[in-house]
Amino acid sequence: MPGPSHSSLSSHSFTWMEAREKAFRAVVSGTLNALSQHEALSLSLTAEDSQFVRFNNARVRQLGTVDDGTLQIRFMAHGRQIVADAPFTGDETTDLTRILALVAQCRKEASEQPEDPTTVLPSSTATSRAVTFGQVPSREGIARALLEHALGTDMCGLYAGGPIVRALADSAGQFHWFANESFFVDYSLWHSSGKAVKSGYAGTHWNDDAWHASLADARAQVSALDLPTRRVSPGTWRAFLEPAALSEILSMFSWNGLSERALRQKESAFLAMREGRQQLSPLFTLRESFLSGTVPRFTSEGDLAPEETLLIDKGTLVSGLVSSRTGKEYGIAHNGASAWESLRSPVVDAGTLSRAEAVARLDTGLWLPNLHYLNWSDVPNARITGMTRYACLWVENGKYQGPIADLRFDDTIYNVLGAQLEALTRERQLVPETGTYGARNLGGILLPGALVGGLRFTL
Amino acid sequence: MISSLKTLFPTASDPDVAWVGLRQLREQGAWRTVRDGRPENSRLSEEVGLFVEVLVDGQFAYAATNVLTKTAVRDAYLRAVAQARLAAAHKVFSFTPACRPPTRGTWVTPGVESHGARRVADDFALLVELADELRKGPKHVSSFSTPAPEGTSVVKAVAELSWLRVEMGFLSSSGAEFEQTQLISHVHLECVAQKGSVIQRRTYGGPRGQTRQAGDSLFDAVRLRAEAARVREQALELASAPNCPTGPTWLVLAPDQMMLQIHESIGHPLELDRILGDERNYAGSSFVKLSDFGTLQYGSPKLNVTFDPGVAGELASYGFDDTGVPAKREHLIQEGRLLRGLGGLESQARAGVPGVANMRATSWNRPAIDRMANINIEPGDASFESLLSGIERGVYMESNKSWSIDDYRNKFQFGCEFARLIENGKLTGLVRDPNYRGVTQSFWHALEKVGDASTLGIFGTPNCGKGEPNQVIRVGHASPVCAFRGVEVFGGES
Repeated sequence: MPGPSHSSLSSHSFTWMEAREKAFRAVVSGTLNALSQHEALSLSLTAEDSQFVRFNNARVRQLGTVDDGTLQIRFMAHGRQIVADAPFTGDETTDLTRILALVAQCRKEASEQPEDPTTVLPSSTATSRAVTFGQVPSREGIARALLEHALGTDMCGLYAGGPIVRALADSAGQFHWFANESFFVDYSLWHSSGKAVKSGYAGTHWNDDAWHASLADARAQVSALDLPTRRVSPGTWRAFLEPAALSEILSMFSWNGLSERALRQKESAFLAMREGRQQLSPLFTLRESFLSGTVPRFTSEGDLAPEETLLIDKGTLVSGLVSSRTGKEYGIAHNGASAWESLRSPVVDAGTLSRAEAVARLDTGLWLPNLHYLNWSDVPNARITGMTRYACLWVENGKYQGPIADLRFDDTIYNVLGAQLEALTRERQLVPETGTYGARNLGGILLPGALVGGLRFTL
Repeated sequence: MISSLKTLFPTASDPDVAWVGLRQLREQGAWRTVRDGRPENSRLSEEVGLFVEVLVDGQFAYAATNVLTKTAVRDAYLRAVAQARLAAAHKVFSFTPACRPPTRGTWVTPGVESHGARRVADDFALLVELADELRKGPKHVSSFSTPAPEGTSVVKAVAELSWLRVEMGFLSSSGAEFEQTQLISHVHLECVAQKGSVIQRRTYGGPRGQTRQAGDSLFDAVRLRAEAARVREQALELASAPNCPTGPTWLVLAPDQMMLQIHESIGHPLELDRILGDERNYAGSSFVKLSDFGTLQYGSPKLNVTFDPGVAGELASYGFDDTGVPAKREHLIQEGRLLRGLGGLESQARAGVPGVANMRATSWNRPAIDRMANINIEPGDASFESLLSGIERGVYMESNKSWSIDDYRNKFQFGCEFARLIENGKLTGLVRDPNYRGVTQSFWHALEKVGDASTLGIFGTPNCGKGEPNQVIRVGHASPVCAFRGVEVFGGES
């Protein structure tokens, strides 16, 4: 197995990854050998051996480990397709027996269901292998490593770390293996006022000094919350969105946004942009980029995305996210999007505004590090609503005046990232993906901060 | 399942280990979707795994695995013990085995045994027929025979169903030994209609609203054909309807929107783990303080809210929570006064306030946390007609489509699929893109009328997200139609 010296990788993770790869290869081989003529199959693996520590008041609330794996098969025969999920344990015999039984069940069910004309058979023979070894804290030392420098603070959040695997193989000969050992700490430091500073530390190699620096920086920011809370009236205010806040708005692009299927089926908020009735600011360019290597280019359906796909170019929608299934249905080329047609590794181009000058350029308005609970309030007009959260500050004449009582905004993306977008910062930040629904997510979003001339607040 | 757990149970020879528990979960299900007459999704799922939990020096710790061998479970047990021992110096609270009662018993979804193996061909035949009804119009229901308004058309029609059998077994060193089996089914009908640049989506009870603990009865073809015809009819009408008006007015909410209103502005704020701060970094906190229980007038005297995991067919019905506490109906709010929070034994021990049997986990691979179950509003005494009768002007809304609320659960904004104006005590013209916003306590104090049992609807959602690591859970919400005075409503962009 290629990679740096094993001294930088815990032996447990190495053994775990090696066992998963051996078992996956055996299951792939055994299952593909059992296929009949006119049958096709893909196998997609999601697996992890995770350590979780949940903390509150800088003390452990819950902790434990999760050794988990799911094998998803896509069985195709006679123009029919069935997807099936089953546990993957890493034991070759157990897993192969289970998957062969599942294939038999799929074969039977496929014979009973109507033809699916958008079934896409595997055709690629591409292979890839990307393994990133890391160094995460030992399971025995994690509580101390996390908490000893946070004593006396009101720190709340989650540590998650350990090896992750994504893999794909199919009956056309494709084989992809992606594995890494990584971690994140997603945390907030709380002020007695009920406000907080949100922060995080993520990577592949844990470094105590870097973690302590992150904590020290957050502690310094908490002191800005000592000032009295201001109640800002609803209305339209200038605003600076830090990268984490802007990433919340970008998350809406993955929910009835850039999906080509949603665009074709009239359910996308960006239909007006597709039809040329609206556009975003010329300052705004968005692409899917897999150049960082933190997210696999292959999907669980067996499609391979280009290294980069330009989606919005200087405010103009140039491409939706097209899965192979959507491509077949509408007779267009796919661009390696997942079945959900959501952003997997988004990157927003940098602007020219120096972050150090942002507060002066804001002059008077709202400094917004985080937003919360966004939803579409009017899909055809790309209008979103959501809340300010954590340490949002009022700024007057380029000076921070203190935290605000939370406000609700309700405005269109065509305003916020269109007519009202004054500048993007030249510095960008990687906002890591910290989702753990079902499994630990990978990657993050690279983006700048945004200065907005007018954001409409309603409550 | 209990007998296999007994063979896997680790021998706890370590005197420091105060308690050991095994919670096994096995899920098996199917999901089938037809869009515009052809299969969109045909999926089978199976999940099996084991959650090993220990208590050492007042600290719980877990190790979850899907390898169900004695060796793997023993390894998991040792891993959990090592974790608990080392974390105990940093524990947020010193728990005792009393948080895991020695419960014994069996619970099953009523009627689960009658659930037969559904035939794929029959399911797809039904779904194709329903999608056809949604797209092309009525063939079977004479009451919905009006043609589409001029210039409107159906652009998308979806029919979907799923079922999931969930089996759980629990065995502990202190004598707990229980099993429960749930059968979860859902049906979804959706029609998207267009007239020019106006596009409207209408569903059968909102997103995943028709998710129940039920078997084949949920897939009754006669009823679903009628619902498909109604959904199509209303989608087409919405595409031609004017925008919802703007301004403060009477707001009357149907049960499939009350579901969301209860969930976001009563259920979540009453979760004790939010009040204790565990959720501040993710789902958020609460405006409710521990001192509010027993004293706070949460809403008007018309407001009566229960935690009731015993309602037959409601989505979050169960016999025991995932720590072994027997489920029991409790009043959370009575005549508007806050009585009790949503917290299991761990939160009750930390907070010193009464709670409920609600520590639940999404699966075998996550620890139990405080959750809603079935959180219901009790019926009042007004028929639908009498509820409307005193309202000179207002808006009646059905079926949630947008939801957002702040992290302390105060300022909310919700949107619905469908609305009608109320004029002089009667429902009149249909309006599209209805939204409303408010602040939780003042909104519940504006509750003026509560419908009687004839207006009650039972809904639920399988997608309540919370916790770190993240978990989704199934919750149920039953409510009558309710009327609120002076709520800010508004429509879409003109």
